[in-house]
Amino acid sequence: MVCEDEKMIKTKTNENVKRREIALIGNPNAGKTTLFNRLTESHQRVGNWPGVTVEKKTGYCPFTQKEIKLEITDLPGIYSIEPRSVEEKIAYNHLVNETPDLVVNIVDATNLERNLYLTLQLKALNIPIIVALNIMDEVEKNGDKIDVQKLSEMLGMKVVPISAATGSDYLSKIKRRFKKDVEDGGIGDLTNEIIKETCNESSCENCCENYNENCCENYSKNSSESCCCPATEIKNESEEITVTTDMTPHEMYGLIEKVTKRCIIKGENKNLKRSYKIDKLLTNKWLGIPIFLLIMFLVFQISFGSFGSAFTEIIETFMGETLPGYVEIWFSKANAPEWMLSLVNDGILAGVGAVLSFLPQIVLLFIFLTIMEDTGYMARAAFIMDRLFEAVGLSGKSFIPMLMGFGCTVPAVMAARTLEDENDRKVTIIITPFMSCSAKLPIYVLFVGAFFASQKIDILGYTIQTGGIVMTGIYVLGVIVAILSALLLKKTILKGENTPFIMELPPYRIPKLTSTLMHVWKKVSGFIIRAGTVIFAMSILIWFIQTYDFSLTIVEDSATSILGTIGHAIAPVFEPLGFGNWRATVSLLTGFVAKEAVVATIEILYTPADFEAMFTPLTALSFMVFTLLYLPCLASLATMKQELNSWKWILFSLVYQTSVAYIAAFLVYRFGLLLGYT
Amino acid sequence: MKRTVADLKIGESGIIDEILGESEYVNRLLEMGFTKGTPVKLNKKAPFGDPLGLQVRDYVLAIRKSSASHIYIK
Repeated sequence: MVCEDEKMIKTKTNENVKRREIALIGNPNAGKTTLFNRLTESHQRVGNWPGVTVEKKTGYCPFTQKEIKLEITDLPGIYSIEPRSVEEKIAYNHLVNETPDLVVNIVDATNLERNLYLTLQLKALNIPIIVALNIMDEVEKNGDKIDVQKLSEMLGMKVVPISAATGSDYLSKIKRRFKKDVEDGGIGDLTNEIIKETCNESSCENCCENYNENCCENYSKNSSESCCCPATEIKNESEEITVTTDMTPHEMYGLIEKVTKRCIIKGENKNLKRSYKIDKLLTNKWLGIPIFLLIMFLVFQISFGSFGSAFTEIIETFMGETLPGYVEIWFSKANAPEWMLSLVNDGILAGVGAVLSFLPQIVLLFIFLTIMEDTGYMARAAFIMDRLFEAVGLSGKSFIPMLMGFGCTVPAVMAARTLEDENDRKVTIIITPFMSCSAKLPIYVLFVGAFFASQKIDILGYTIQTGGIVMTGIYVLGVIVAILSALLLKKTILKGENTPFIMELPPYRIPKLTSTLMHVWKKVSGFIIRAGTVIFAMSILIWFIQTYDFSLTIVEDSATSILGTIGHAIAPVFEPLGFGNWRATVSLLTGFVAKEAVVATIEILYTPADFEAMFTPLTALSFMVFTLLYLPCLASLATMKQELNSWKWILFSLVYQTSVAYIAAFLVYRFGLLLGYT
Repeated sequence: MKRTVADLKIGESGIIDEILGESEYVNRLLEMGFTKGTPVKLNKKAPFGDPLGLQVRDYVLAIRKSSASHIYIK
């Protein structure tokens, strides 16, 4: 071990601070995220690894003394460090190029054999490493006995038993802050061990537990420095295994089995049994899918039904009436100019308010999504739906994002993060907007209500409301276009090597409420900041172009504003689709900011009489098809940019979707004309 | 004819013999613990009969039937 005094940096107050870089690595489902959250609490930053769409989390530990700063990087969850997939390459490169001071390998103690595979690979890399043996609470329940000392010895690395979930709830956190004695799941010990391993004094006495006079003459096999290394001295009697980088998996597992046989007496894997029983119901041949659909129905009902929309109304009222009211009062008191009042109320508050108003529904969706992920149910959903997706070239993992798209594209696109295959992820993100989101529903309601409600047709002697058919048809059309797009993309530009489906079905675990809420908060706050800044800017822009005309005077009639002029200019483009008037065009343009704006704009620009005169059932249908398929709203685009991490793909999505929308609406209109409708 | 994991009935176990197929995929399975001599049990099937849930070394892995048919067992 080397004590790198070069790493002491001076802070602003001239203190000497030892900065140590820690990398957290481990299998998916081993509790790495929970551990990372425990070690860093709220001091985290989330971004992307450069050049890829994989989330990168970094943070620092707030529990150390001021002279020690532990900077922790959370590496992607991987089963192997062989650099094949994107995640594996990221982890491998980080370890090899960034050379962290210590690697903390989190291992699921209830699933030790497979978890130790990565551990052995890391051992062969000869890097400083300790093992955090997690989920010890279940180990206890199962009646397993693990000889941690022996395990340490055989692996040749310090092993710290922890239970990251224990003591992670909010109440425990508060108790700890007041220095009350409370179970911390071993995190304190782990932190101390990390500090011990990375911040030793250079003198051997403090370095070695087994210090003796001969200590400093024994070189650690890991280090060429003169500082000695504990625990591996008496090598003759140590049962430490040897791992080399050229070993086959078979040989590695041979070593692993040797270790586990020696160090573990297994009890009964209660969780595996319990999960099996639960799965008998949830992945049941006949009940599995209906149960899933029922759960999703409930999720949507709560998020978008009366519960969720109650919150929406509160925000709408606040942003649309209460706050503008106050602003008007303040501005008139301050004698602010008219345009400034308009900018704030009609521009910023209107635009930002439109997006914030569907925030409660997004939050609710996120909460359900996170619960499904953290309990392990999400994997089951992908499991039961995979067969359908295989036919399209995707996997069941694309199902949840697409399903969520029926609610809102924003969390749906973020949910696509769970797809490991980058091509699959791109395809899923691009086709998700075709799932008609809830913001488009008012558009259909408006048009169907005006043009299809009173119509009935006779099929086979039954009288059916055309309105219902049209609505269903729109949604189904979205799904069909999504499926065809997936097929097309997968066969052409996003052709993958078709990485065969491999997915772990983790045991069901009850997530701690605080960690779930923390996950949700991270997702939501990220969205607010990203989308917020973009939407803020766009709202101002849209306000500007609809308030002013080209000579920069305020207009009375929006037809002469910049937006109106642009609308007039673009309108002819929509002639072949049947709605080539400037009002329709402008409505579509405002739909860029938020789909809810389409109806709002229509209501502003058309009188009911105008509306019924300028559209016919056929052109209404054509218009609805166009709004179903054309570019997604700003918030979605901002999220897609974040997830796809490239302008090229955003541009592609925009062009692709709008082209598809145009072609589809064109076909609908022309076909209708052929049939004799107007 | 040699039996594969795809031939197992639910709850039935076999011992992995060898895995044939594209080397990257085979390597993945090996790294996940599907090594020769390891017991594997068919834990569950999805409603459409595909994918399969296989229990190996204390955990459950889902793979498609097409892949399972390349895992030969004794």
